[in-house]
Amino acid sequence: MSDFDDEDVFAAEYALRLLEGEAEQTADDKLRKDPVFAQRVAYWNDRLSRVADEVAPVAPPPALKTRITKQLFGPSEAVSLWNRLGLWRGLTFASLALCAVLLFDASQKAPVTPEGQGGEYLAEVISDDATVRVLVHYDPATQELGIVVSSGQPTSDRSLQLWGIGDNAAPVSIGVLDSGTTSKFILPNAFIDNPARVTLAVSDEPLGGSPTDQPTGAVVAVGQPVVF
Amino acid sequence: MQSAGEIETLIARVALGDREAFASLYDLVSPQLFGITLRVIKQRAAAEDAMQETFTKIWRNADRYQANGYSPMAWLVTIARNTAIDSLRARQKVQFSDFEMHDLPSPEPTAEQRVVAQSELGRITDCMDELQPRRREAIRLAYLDGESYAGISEQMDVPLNTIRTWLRRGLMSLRECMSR
Repeated sequence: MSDFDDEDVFAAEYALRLLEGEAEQTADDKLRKDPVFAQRVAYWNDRLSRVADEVAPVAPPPALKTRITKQLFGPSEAVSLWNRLGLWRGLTFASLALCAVLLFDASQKAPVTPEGQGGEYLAEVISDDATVRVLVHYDPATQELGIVVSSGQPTSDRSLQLWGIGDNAAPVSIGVLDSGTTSKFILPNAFIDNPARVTLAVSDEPLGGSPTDQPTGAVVAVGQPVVF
Repeated sequence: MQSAGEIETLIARVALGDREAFASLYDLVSPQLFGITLRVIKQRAAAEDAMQETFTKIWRNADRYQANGYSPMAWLVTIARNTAIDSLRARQKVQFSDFEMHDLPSPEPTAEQRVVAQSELGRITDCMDELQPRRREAIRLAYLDGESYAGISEQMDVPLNTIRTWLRRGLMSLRECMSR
């Protein structure tokens, strides 16, 4: 009964989480500074852990593993190709990294006329690492937007959604993009007067698009239309 | 029960940032750790949150495993239990319902469960058996249910000081038994 001292019991009580208040703080401190005490605590934790052998295993829900791996490792391999510019909500325009709009390949489209003369608009919405590229063509005559996701398809359980953002306004949904084919939409009325001032953005959403009228997913690409 | 060697290897790989090893380790040990967590927290949603915290700690601290002389499963169990108790106590500060916090005391392990436990160096289980039943019960309430001295006193309907004495004497007996 006297092979060991009070310090051993103290270590055991600490391992059992029976110490409270000041006693616990003292032990916390001791754990950090006193390697012999740390070893005693480790001894107790190690031995006492066998008491848990009798506890029946309980399968956690599959969603928990997904949650954990997502949190630790970020999005899944396929989605991680997306360059996440950060969660949309709470970001002001100033903080979004607007990327350069690239010249559209002239061979693919009929020549366009200058802005203000009914000219067509072209934009390439592109992520920072260029893995996501969405081409947008707008014809003022028909108010029709044609959109092609030229690279960076979402995973099968996610959708890309295109938004238009006017000056100081909340994003307005233009539509959920099809993969692999041209999506066609009518440009929302809010933007008809001045399409060039619209900022286009693509967000990563649950399948079928955002369940609300605002983006819920991360913004993956941003661009502004340019007239050629 | 998985082999200690297998778990140790996975932990070592996790320490190197091996995500596949982490997933394998999760598959292997999460049911046991979840059982332990649920036993302490007794509420599913909070237990799942604690599990997330536990596995985050495992991921981040796998490189420190070797340093502290635990058996591999003991290390994992200790992290899970401590995380669960932290969660339990944080919740107890804001919730006043005793009804929620105290479950019916769990029965002693069955003979079969004890055979399984003893099949691998279960020294403590033999030594626990040598304890007087009430002292054993007090230790089990502390270890498995994360009960405080006050909680054990209430559960066993025994004065606080008596519980303290039982626990300390019980721990001393265990220590003596295990070092034989």
